[in-house]
Amino acid sequence: MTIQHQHMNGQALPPVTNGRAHDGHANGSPRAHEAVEARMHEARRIVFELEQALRAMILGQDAIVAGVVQALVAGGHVLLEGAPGLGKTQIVRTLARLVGGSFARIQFTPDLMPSDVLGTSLVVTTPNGGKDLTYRQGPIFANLVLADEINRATPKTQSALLEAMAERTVSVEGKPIPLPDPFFVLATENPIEMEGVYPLPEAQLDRFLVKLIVRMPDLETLTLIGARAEDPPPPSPLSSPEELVFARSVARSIVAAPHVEQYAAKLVLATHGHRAARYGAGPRAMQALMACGRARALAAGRGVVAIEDIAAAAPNVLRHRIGLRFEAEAEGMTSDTVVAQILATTAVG
Amino acid sequence: MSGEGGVVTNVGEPASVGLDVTPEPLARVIVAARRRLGWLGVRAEVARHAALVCAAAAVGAGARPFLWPLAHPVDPWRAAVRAIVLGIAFAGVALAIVAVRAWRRRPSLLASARHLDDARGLAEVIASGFAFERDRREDEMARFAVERARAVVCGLDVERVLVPSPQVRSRREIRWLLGAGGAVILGLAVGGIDRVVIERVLNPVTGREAAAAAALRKAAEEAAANAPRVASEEKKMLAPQPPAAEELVEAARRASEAAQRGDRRSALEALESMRKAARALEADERDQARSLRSLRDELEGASAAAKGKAADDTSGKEGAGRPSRASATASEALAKLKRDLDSAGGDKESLRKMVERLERAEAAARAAAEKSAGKDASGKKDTSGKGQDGKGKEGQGAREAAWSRAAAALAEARDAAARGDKEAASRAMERAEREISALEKASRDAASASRMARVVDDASELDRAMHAALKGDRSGGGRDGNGDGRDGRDGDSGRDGAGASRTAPSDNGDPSGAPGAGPGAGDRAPGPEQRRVTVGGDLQARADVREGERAVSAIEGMGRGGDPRAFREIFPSYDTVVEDGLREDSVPAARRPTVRRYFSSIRPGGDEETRNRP
Repeated sequence: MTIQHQHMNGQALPPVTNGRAHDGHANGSPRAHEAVEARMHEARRIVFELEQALRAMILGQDAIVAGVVQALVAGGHVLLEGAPGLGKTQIVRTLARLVGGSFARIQFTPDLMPSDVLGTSLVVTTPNGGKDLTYRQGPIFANLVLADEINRATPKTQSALLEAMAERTVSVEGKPIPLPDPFFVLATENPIEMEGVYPLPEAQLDRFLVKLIVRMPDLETLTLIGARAEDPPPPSPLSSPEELVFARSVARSIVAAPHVEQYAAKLVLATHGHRAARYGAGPRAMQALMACGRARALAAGRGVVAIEDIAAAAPNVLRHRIGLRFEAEAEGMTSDTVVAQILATTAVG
Repeated sequence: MSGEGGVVTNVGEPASVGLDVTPEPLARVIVAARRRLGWLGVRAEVARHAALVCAAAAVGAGARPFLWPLAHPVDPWRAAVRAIVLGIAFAGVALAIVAVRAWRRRPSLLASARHLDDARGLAEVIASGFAFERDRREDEMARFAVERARAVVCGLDVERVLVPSPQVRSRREIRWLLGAGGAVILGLAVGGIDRVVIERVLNPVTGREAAAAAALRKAAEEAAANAPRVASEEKKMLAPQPPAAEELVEAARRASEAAQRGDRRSALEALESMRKAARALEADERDQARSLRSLRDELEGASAAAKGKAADDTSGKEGAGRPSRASATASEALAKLKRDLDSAGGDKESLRKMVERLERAEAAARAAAEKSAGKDASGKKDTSGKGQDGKGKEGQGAREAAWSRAAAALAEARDAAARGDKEAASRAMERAEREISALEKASRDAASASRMARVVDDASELDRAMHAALKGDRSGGGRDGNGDGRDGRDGDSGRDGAGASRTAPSDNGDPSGAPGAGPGAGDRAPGPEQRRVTVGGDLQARADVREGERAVSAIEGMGRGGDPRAFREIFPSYDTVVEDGLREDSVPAARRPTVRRYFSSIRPGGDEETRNRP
């Protein structure tokens, strides 16, 4: 695999503030380590280019862009929450074009049926004049799926996504049909409108690796957006689904020291003991924390997960997995407040 | 790009750039880092708790008077030194506690590795590598992480990487520190300024005090130099109460030193010790003389006649109502008895009488031995108070042994005489004579009371000088006539001058007889007039009496709620006169203890003064 020093738009990979194995290895083969470094470098390049391209298109949402890319690399699904017009859909559409895989958009409405998502079996006439049932795939069969305004659909339709998101398969007539790889669901929801919406159940929320809050851009960013006479042209694909799968495999190989894993576990457990929490995060949150940490470490070019990776991923991973007590909500607390308190009080080691 | 210390800062660089050093095990570097962090932590904690350390020093220095009080002979400046030593010791203990606590709380190895990461701006590279190395992880990525960590720490100078963070103190901390610094100064002031120093500032040593102290010192040295020298240990053991004499001289030296130093309290205490020693010496001499007289009487066979006049014996007046005898001493009486025994023929009656005399003499010697041992012949405890200390007991033991040997020899002589063995009796009597002669000689040599009289006189002068100084009399000079020459005591205290006689009669409180006209009254400076006041009989007391005042009225006023200060001022003069009177045998020996007890009981001083008003 070729190591490139110059990448898109002439931007180089940012320096990595960590060490690298040198020639005089005490253990293991120098060649093996070089291969590892090369793989890491390539995976990091993919992630970096993807992120830079998204940032160029989506102004003022760098944190959201980074979170989406890390979730993509970590192999999880993203729930984007924000007011209309903040660029949620634009992020997904741009990402779909950059990744280069198949893309499907599902606009969730109250009358949307599960078959509209998963697909349906139709009675078709065979060439010999007979009748047969043929399964027609729904929009879920795509590499990137945009579930727009997911909380407008009925729980029945929402739950149709459960198996697809968790198992990455769809059961049709008792037979599981695998979804394409990579399979990435990006759902959006509008927190403002409270009428005619169906809040996602906890089980559904838990399927999302991270929940990102899209906030209003600042004055400078708004000025830049206003200065654009027209939308920039759609970007050309920077990578292929295969490259994305490769980056995922590299991310999964990144290791974490025991004390880092212990720190993540402490964070998860702390969500249960917090006085404001009605319920806390489960083991899936632990997996999500580590996955996000690995993706972040890869983006930073590190071969190991750091405490700061876990801490940085914790708000996005835990905020939709913590149920607040009524008293805490009455006090104006949010799950973000709880996570911040947990981060402040949890010690390393 | 390759950073300093072999740290690679870009993963995109070729793997072989600038890394030609041998990696060292992570654990060694991290142990060094932990040690370094421990010391840095100790430094930071000590700096943070500087106020506490200062407070401990303040407490230690301030507690000096309780923890390490000055002994009397010690110079006052040592208080400051001791306060500093205690302050340093307390601060050291506090420092050690803080340091040990900080050292025990030093980061773990893993935390040290994380500190190294932080110091190098790395994210968990060294810490993760160390964790994998410690856990012996063999998977590819773990080994990769370990190698990266080793590359980072390769050639790493822990001392340079881990540097102390700059100390930033909050206003509150600064206030605490300033307060603690003030407390240290206060503690040093409390612990370093001794009572003596304060007294010297408030009441400096007067010239009269200094002169009196010097004279006392000189007298003490002379008394010590004139003490009888005993060559052999055996004879030394026979010395009558030398410890009391030594105590007296030693107390005089202490009083002199304390007075010159300005420590009046210690000086007065030393003077009191000196008086006690003088009394003990006197009492011992009397006891010894009484025992020898008793032995002499028994040997001469005059006990029967003397028995009825025992009061005369105890009064200390020799010869009063006693039949005339040929022998002046017990040894002479024993020699005479020995001659009588040798010349005695076969007269059994005279031999029986001699045996009886020897038996009574033996009983008297045994009684003297028991008394010397601290108990009288009846076995009751001696309450005279003498010989209570170690040195006194030593002297008593030697004398007891001598008396016991004499008693044994007399018993042997008695038995031999009873058997009719004149030769053996004669030999035994010679031995007894030697022992008794030694005791008599030791008693004569002692004459300690007279030898110490000069010392006691000088002590009285010092006592007066100190009381005058405490009253606020700052005038100098004194007995040598170079000072204020206030009352003619210049001549009087010289003893050889023609000052006012102690026994010169004068009117009661008549000031006309007060000022002496001794030759020492040369350069007299004007000062408070001290006048001689007749106390009663032929004794006189000297006191600072101003115009229109009478010493007698000061004493009489005590009983009617008068001003106690007048009594306190006049008492030292009375005390001195009492001591002089007792020493000059103006008071019967049997009554002296009573007189002494009485004046001791009315000695001014705190609550006792109020309780024991005359």
